[in-house]
Amino acid sequence: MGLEQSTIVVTGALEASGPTSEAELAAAFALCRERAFWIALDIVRDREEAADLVHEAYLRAQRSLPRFRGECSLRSYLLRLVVNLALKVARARRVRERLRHLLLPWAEQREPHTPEACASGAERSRALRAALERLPAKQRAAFLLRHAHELPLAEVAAVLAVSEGTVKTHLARAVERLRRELEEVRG
Amino acid sequence: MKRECRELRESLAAGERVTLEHVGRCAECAAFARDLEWLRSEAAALPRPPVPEGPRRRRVGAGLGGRRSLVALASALSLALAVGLALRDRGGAPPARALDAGVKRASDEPRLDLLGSLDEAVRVYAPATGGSTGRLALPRSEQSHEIDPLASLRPAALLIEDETTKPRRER
Repeated sequence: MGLEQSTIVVTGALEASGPTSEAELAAAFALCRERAFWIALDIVRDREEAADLVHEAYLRAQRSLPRFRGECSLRSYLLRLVVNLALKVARARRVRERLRHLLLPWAEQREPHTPEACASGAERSRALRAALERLPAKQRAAFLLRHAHELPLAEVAAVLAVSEGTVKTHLARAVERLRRELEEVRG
Repeated sequence: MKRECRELRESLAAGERVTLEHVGRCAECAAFARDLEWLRSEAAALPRPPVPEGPRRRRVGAGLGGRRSLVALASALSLALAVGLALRDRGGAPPARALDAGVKRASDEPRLDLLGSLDEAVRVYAPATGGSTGRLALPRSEQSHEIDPLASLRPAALLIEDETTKPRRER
C-alpha cells in the first residue's frame, strides 16, 4: 500500500500541473538527481562544480516553489534550473579563459587533436568533449540533452525554455559544426 | 542549401522519424545522416561518473553573485573604518603600535580594564619600560610596599636645587 502511494505521488510530481508540495519536489528531485548531475557535468566539466550546481538548483526550486505554475513537469523545471546555472558557470569560465589567453599569450595552449592521437575510444570521447566545449552554449546544451541524455524533443524545449522549432535549429547547427570539427577524428 | 535539405537535416538532428526517400537521393544529406549516427553513438557513450552522495558543503564564495560580494565587502570595510575611528577617538594609535615606534605617551599605556587581564598588561607593558617580563615594572617603593624615608624631603631638596641653579643675576 505504502509503495503504491509513493509511486502515485512520484508519478504525480513528475507530471504535475498544479500546486506542488515540498514532498513532491523532493520526490522529483530524487528521481532526476543523477541525470541532473550528468547534464551539469557535461556542461561545466567539473565534478565538484556540477554537484554544487545540482544542490543549488534544488535549493532554488524550494525557494521558488510557491511561484511554480505547473506549466511544465517538475523534472523539466528542475533540469531547467540546473542547465541555466551550468550555462552561466560555463559562460563565466569561457570569458575567464579568453581573458587569460588575451592577457597571458604565452600561457599553455590546448593541444590540437590529431587523427593519430584520436584513435582510441577515450581519445574520441575527449575530442568530442573538446568540440562540444567550442559550441555556443545553447547548441551544446540542446545536443547534450537530446543525444547524450536522450530527453524527448518537447522536454528539451521545456528545459531550455524555447520552442521546439528553435531546438531543432540549434540541433542541426550543432551537428553541422561537430561534423566539421570532428572530420579528422571520424576518419 | 535547399529548403528540403535543411528541413530534413533539422528533423534528423532532432531525432524525429523521417522518410528515407530524400536521403537516398541526396548525397550530402546521406553523409549528414551517417555522421549524425556516429555523433549520437559517441555522445551516448560518454562516460558517466557516479553521482556524489550526501549533502553538499558549500564552498566559500560559491553562489555569491557579484552584487552580493560587493555589499559584503562594503560592509566589512565600513566596520573596519568604524573600529579604526573608535580607537583613534579613545586616544591615538593602539598601544602596541605606539610602543613599537618608540613613542610613549600616557594615553598609550595599556590599561587593565581594556586589556582584560593582568598577564596581558605585563606582557605588553614590561618590555617597553625596561622591567622584567615576569612582573609589572612599577617603582621599587610601590612593589615592596615600603615607606620611602626621603619622600617627604624631596620637594625641599628640589627647591634648594632650584635656588642654587638659578643664574647669578636673578639671585
